[in-house]
Amino acid sequence: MSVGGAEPMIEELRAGVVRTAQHPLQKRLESATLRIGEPFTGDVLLSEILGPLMTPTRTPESATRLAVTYTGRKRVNGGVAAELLMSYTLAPNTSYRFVVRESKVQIEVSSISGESRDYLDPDRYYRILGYDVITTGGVGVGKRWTAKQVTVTTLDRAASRGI
Amino acid sequence: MALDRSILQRVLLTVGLGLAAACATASASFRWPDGAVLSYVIETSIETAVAERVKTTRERQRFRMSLMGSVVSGVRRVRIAFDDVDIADALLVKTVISRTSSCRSAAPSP
Repeated sequence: MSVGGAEPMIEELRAGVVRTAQHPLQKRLESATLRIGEPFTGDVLLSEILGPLMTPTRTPESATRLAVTYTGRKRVNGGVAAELLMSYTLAPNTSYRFVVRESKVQIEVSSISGESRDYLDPDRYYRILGYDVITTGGVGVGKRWTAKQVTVTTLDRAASRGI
Repeated sequence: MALDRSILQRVLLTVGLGLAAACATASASFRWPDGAVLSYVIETSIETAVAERVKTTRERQRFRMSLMGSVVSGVRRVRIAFDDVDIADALLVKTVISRTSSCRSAAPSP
């Protein structure tokens, strides 16, 4: 995904990452003990981490539930990895307004769902392999739209060091 | 006013980055030894549909996190780059990203 051509947006995304890192749910997750097959769940108000890029169209804002499940250790790419499954779905009857400042376009985002499979080194916790799927949809400029992104992230061992 | 596909990609980027970070357990939790570099190849397929007109694009990019040393005891500075363009420094305290700062404003064109 390109990040160029929109520096204000990069700054807002950067701020969003910081807000996310400081979110109470993140701190809960860091200190949680993940047991095999028992999902860790938490609710988050998207405006807290994605605002002001995305703002709720209805108040009070409904929380989006996130779930992380540790399914145990799997063999992947010739090694052993800890498999984490993550998922989130926008609550029913919830929508957000997405603003693109430079073009003055506003679009409604009324569906969001995502799933990912994350394979971590079981001892050092860095990602070995990841599969992410994000699906969104809504209405913009009078037209219905959907967007789906599938991402495969692979550790390049040859270009990595110290692991 | 057109519903530009780059806008929809931007929605995906925003949602994906925000919510993925909300569940982040990977690299931010990595116990960084001196000189450590994590380099990833990211292959992305994006399908957008506007009023039944479907378009698919594919991208391949590189993501790199490099340890730039310790700031103070227990705090590590990690440089983040996309496609060899440094975009930010992150200060990692234990397993938490405590603050990010702009490293270089230059960024690749979409």
